[in-house]
Amino acid sequence: MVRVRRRGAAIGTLVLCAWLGLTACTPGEATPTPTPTGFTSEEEAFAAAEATYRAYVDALNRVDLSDPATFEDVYAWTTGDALSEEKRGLSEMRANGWSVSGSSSVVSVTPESYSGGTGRGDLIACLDVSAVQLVDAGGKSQVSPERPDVQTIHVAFRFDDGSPTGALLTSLGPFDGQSPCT
Amino acid sequence: MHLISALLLFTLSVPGAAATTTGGCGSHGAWGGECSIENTGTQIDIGASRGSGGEPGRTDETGGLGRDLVRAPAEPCVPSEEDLCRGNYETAGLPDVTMDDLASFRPAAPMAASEPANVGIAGMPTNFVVAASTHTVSGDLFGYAVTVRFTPVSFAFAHGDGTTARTTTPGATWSALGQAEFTPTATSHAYAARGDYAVTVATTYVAHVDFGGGWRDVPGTLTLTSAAYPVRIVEARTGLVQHTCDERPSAAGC
Repeated sequence: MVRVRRRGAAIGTLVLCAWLGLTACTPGEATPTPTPTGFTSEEEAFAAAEATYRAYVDALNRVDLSDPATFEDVYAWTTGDALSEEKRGLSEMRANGWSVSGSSSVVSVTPESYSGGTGRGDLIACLDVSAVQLVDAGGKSQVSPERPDVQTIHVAFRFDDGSPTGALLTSLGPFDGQSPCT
Repeated sequence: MHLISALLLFTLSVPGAAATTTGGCGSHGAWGGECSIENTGTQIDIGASRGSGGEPGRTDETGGLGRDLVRAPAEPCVPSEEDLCRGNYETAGLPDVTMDDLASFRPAAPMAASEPANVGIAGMPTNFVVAASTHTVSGDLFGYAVTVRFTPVSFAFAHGDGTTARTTTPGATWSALGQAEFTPTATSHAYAARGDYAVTVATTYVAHVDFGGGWRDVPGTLTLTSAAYPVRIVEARTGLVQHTCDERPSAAGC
């Protein structure tokens, strides 16, 4: 028993030494870090994120502001700030008696960045909203005269194994860099 | 030897109430056209992440909010407005730091005060003074000193009686202004009726950040609201008396 235990300890020491030697003597190598979050590659992450964003826009296109049940699909693709914003925005528009018509369409999606360590990333989406009409209870348009036909939207996402696409949108904000949408 | 690539980003946020951030690009913003750059918050979150080197100039990590990135420069590094130099450090043994490591910097909460202290007379000016001045908050990120400077630019008073006033001055005492008591000032307010009022002042700050290479603007503004400051407004009634209070200390009103 004692001998076995000693041998185990010896092997442990050997492994430790090997590990130390590896980390200390190979300056070119990055220390391997575990990837606790989902995607196996950047490509997979962006593909999931794009699928999520497109599904979210599809859900938006099905929204009937008079029927809160149609909001649920939108909520399903979002989390965090994006979810809060949708809950607030859709509820507010419904409470004010607004209605929306027409569809928006995704023109393009451009990967921006992805961090394998956190499973989070972001992309730039070009969303054509030119066909969307938003009117208040009195039929007056609530569309800003400054609204561009194609919105440049900064979309942040993160891995989520509960999502059918593997990702959820965490925030939807304006993009202040050079827009890829023009 | 590795090059540590440091990515820093600034974002203004409302802690615990991110939903109130305006200018979002969800359904409401995208449909209505309000999807624009507009930041208003109550604190600055400066996040950073870094990856180990090997590919100078490449952004390794960005976290979920990768905007306004300051990209790591290639060697040799010359500090500039756009680039921060954090190169030539050993990375052996350093943990993999991500966006989750956020340092939050909040300006000091403004303090409201009034003249006379906590009381006023209905129909006469009560003078409010805000204790808010330019100040800096220091912290560190990965051992690098970071300083954020907050400068108050406007003050929104809510007097508690339904009236509000916005000023660019925090106000000053009557004596500092060289004015007589109960005279109007830029920050005074005359209450119409007696009662107890809770006064708050929302102070808007602009911020600058310094990583050791000079001050950089942080886009947007921050607004912090003071704790409620109680003011009791009383009515002044005059009456004729025969003697002074010195002469008859037990008289009514003495």
